[in-house]
Amino acid sequence: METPWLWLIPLLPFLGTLLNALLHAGVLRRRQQERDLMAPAVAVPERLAGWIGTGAVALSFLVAVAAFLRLKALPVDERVLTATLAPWIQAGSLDLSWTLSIDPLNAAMMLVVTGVGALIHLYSIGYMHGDKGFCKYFSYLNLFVGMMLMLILSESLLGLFLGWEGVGLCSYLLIGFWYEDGEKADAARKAFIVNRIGDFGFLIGMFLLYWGGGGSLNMSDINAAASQGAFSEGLATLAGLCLFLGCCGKSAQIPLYVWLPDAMAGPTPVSALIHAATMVTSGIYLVARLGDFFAFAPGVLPVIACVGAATALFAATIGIAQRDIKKVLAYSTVSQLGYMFLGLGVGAFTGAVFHLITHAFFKALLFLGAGSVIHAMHHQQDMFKMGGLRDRIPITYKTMLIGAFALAGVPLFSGFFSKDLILFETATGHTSPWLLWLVGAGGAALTATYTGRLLALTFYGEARFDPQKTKVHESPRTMTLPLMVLAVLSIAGGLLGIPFIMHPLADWLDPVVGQATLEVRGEHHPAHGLEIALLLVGSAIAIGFLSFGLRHYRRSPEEQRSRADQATGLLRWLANAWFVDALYALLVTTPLKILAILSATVDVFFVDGTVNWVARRSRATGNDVRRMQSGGANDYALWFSLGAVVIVVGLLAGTR
Amino acid sequence: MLATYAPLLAWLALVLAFVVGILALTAWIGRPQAATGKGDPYECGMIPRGDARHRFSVHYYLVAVLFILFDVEALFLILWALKARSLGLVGLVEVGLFLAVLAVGWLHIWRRGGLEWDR
Amino acid sequence: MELGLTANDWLLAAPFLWLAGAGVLVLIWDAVRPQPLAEGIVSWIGLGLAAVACLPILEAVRTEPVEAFSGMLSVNVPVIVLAILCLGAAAFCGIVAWRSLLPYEGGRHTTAFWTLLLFSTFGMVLTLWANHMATLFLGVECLSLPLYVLVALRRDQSDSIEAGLKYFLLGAFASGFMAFGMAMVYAATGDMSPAAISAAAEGSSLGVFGVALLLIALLFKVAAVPFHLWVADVYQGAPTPVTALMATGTKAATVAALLRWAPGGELMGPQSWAMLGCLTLLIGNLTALNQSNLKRMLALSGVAHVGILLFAFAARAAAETAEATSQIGDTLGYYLVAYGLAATAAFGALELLERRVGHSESASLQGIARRQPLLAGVLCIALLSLAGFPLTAGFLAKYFVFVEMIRHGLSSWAVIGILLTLFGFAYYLKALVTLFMQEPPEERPSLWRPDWVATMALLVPTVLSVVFGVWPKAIQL
Repeated sequence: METPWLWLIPLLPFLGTLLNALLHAGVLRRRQQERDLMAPAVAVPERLAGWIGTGAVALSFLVAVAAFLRLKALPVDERVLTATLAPWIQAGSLDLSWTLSIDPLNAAMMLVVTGVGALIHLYSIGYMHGDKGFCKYFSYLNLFVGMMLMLILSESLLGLFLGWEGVGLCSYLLIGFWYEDGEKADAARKAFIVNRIGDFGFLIGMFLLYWGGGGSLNMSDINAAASQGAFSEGLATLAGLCLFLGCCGKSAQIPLYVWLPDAMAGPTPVSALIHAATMVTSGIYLVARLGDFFAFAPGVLPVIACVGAATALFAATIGIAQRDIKKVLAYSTVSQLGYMFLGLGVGAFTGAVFHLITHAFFKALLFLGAGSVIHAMHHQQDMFKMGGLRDRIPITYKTMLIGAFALAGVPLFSGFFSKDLILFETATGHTSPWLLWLVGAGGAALTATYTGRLLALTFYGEARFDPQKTKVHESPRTMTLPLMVLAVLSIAGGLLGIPFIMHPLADWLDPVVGQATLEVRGEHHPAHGLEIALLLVGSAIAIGFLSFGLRHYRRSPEEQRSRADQATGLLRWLANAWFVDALYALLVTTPLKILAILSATVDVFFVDGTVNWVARRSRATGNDVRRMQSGGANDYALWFSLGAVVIVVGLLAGTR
Repeated sequence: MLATYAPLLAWLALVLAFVVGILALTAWIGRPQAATGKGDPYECGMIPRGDARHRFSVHYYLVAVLFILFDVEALFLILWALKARSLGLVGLVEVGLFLAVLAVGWLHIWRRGGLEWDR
Repeated sequence: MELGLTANDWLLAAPFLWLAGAGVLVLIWDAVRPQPLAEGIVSWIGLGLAAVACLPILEAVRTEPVEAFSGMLSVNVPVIVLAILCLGAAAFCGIVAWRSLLPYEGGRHTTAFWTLLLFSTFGMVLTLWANHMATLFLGVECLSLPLYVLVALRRDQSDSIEAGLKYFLLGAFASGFMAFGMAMVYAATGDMSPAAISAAAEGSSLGVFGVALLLIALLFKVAAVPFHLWVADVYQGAPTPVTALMATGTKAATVAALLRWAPGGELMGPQSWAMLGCLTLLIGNLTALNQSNLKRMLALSGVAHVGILLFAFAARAAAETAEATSQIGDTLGYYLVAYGLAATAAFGALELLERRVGHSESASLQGIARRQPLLAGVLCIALLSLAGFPLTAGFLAKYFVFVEMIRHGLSSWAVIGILLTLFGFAYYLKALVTLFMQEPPEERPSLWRPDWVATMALLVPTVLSVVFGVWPKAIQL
């Protein structure tokens, strides 16, 4: 159904970008006039920018809700809304237009992005208060939401790629938002470069799909072509793996996850929005959207499952030894994304999307809570220097507790249902089910442990800082309100799918991913006994390890601290993230640097030499030719006559 | 094909012969006689002898150009007049338009002072 | 009263009537009561009405070309589009000249400017539409004569007068070639329509001689090597608004005339055309490389553009079907529009800079990016479009020409053309580097009042350059 106003959804945030950019330009001009380059974005533009930014995304959310309701009113098998703005590229058989299309899957994504996005914008008003780049920040953040919506809503793979690159750019800009700090600028660059590797895979995959599958880049066409077997198996596998490489980059999976922990250099709301709730899930979205294709491509889904499971466990081990509160959450995000890929890999598309949504709620909550803690602690991020914050910042504490329960998978919280759905589907899948389940369950145990550790070190015990020097205060209303909303969502999110009782999300997504699920998993065989057993095991793991973590670290934080300071043995490996960065530096960066020096030498002596020679020669020739241009009309007439003679003689000779 | 132009060629030859003949005849019959006023321009124009770099009024050229313009106008009018009857009303309107445009140009020149010699 | 005119005659005569009417009205106005503002408004209205009168013609020619006045005029789609471009360029010239050229010497030359502008535009449109040698000659002369005066309008600047005189002398020289060539073609074939060109080319050497002379005259008008030498001096010396008009309107009109009146493949093969194009492109680029004056540099870059246009002529000489030929005609039309828009914007921006700095040496660009970001942006897009940077109309225009060449078996020439084009990037980028990366030598006194009307007018061709570069179908050739 053609619904032109869908374009409002991405255009509203873009409009916000524009307005905030203008505000920023105004602030810059004033600073220049007052010759005070460091002046903060003073009250009026700051308030305006914050509300424009939040309002744009909130309005976009309202339009998204309207679109959702319109979609819901349609019969189940006709649930697609489209909006075509204009033709884009028409070259040969390639026919692309600026088209948005909304099906149940990206409708869910769209609501999450705009809804959580609006809350985080609101939160940012308090968090970024007084920053000198306030308007710029909101401009970037709006641009991000717009780009993310382009990514989600585009009908064509190329449009998706446009958004994909756009959110990558915003991620770069926001990680390096405080670019005066060299380390933060480096982190931004790292994120951008690592993502380039993934994007390379994405592009190759896209070309392969276009070349090998009937010449269309529209995702519905690709899915249809895959269902009809238009792709050869080898090509489909190759294209699928290439696309998955792109997903590994964007969604931080082994081997390309290394940028995400460093990305915590950005402002904390950015970490919440981009690096936990939305952008990093676009890889999951892509695989789910192209579900029919991935279901067809042989051998790709098992690879995805294995990579996902490995990442889930691996990142969780690192998370357990981090001291920086945001680093813990970052590795936790990598790990949770691994679960989502595990779900996709075993054909549990619904489970993956379910976890994506609940994770968006509780991880955004945790990050925002961490931001609130950091805000309260005056930019102290080391958990060993916190402690005892429970009574000092009660709202943050209570909401974060809910988020932590959801993350750990405590029964009845949203994360419990989504994670256990994935683990159950893993155990009943086709790809070495019990090994993968064991890895997943191990990861869940570690997750519960580090969640307990985070709570214990941050909120319980004695204060390990000087309360006289560090005045701890609860955050302003604009920051606590989003926390409370997200806390409610972190609990209520579970209502999207409660085993045996209700599964509205699965029903909703069925028109999109049902076919692919059937293709991968075959007919549905209810295994109630197993499911109940696994639920019980999952609850036991979550509660057991969470309380272990809480008790263990609550009791002896000082001892843990000294152990962390010395960092020997396994702890040293964990704290340094298994030295993967060093390994990459040795294996990838060093050879590249040597190559760079070599090619620089060739460039300077050979290429530049040639180019400079050509330039010098042509300048000299130009000078010679310029002499023709003597300025004398009689000389010109002479050249004219010479040319005339040549042409007349030439034409006359030509006819002979 | 060029044979059709033969009478024209003969005519050209006759003209040349006449000019050369007259010049030769005057040189032979007449006597050179230097007298004042003989080399002066008649009524207007430049003095034909003397230093070429002397100053003269640029108005001379302006008037000459304008003269040529209206001269050409007369040429067009003669062509029209020859065929005026067969061209009929349409021809009359066309030539009227032509004259009107020319008249506007003339009006403009006049108002701008292009016709005033002393300025 | 029955004037014996058909509906088509009236249709095609309408733009001329508006232009000439406006010109005559301005003259009368001046004679009765001089009133500079009113004269400008009348002229703009005349240009606007002429453009509006072109629209029904555009509708009429969608299906097939339209002829009028017993075949003296004939139009097709590209020709109408170019006529609208010429009218737009003239209106733009008037807007940009409003605050610089017109007030000079107390506004004494206002009437001259407007009437000459209108009559020259009249000539451009007539040249575009001429389908008979008599109308072509009238058109070209009607285009050139007012321009000679417009070029020399700044009587207080020796450059301007010198440029006008040079243009006049060489132009008269070329007109002689043209008239003589036409006479000989007529003598050989007894015909003065474009068909006479191909008839003469196949006939006697008298006819070939005539075709050659006509070709030489037109090559002079479009400024192809070696008849291009006047361009640099004239473009530099002329008041910049007039230069903008010449670069856009004159070039469009004369190149379109060349397309209609140049000999086809039977007399001048694709190799000869390509060689001529290559020479023009090479010499244009080489000469432009070392120019320190921006107007001169852009003038010579225009010569290089003519080289690429001649490449399209080479493709036309190689084309075998009528369909392919008309396709190349569309390509040329698109190229001229793209070039015209970019050149208009570039010269317009230079005019505004010149007012501020007092000269058009490349140093005048220093520090503009910071002081006048809008102007710098306009100039940047214009230069990128001239250079043929992707996402601008200039890029697509070059791309289309090279595609046509490759399609008609001129791949090796196309490769040479592409290399030479890239070579041309050097001087555009040099200007951009000056624009964005160099600081002015010292703080200049800011006596300069921004001319917002002209700046806004500049945005029109600039935006169109980008729009047509992204969405070429918008021109609807």
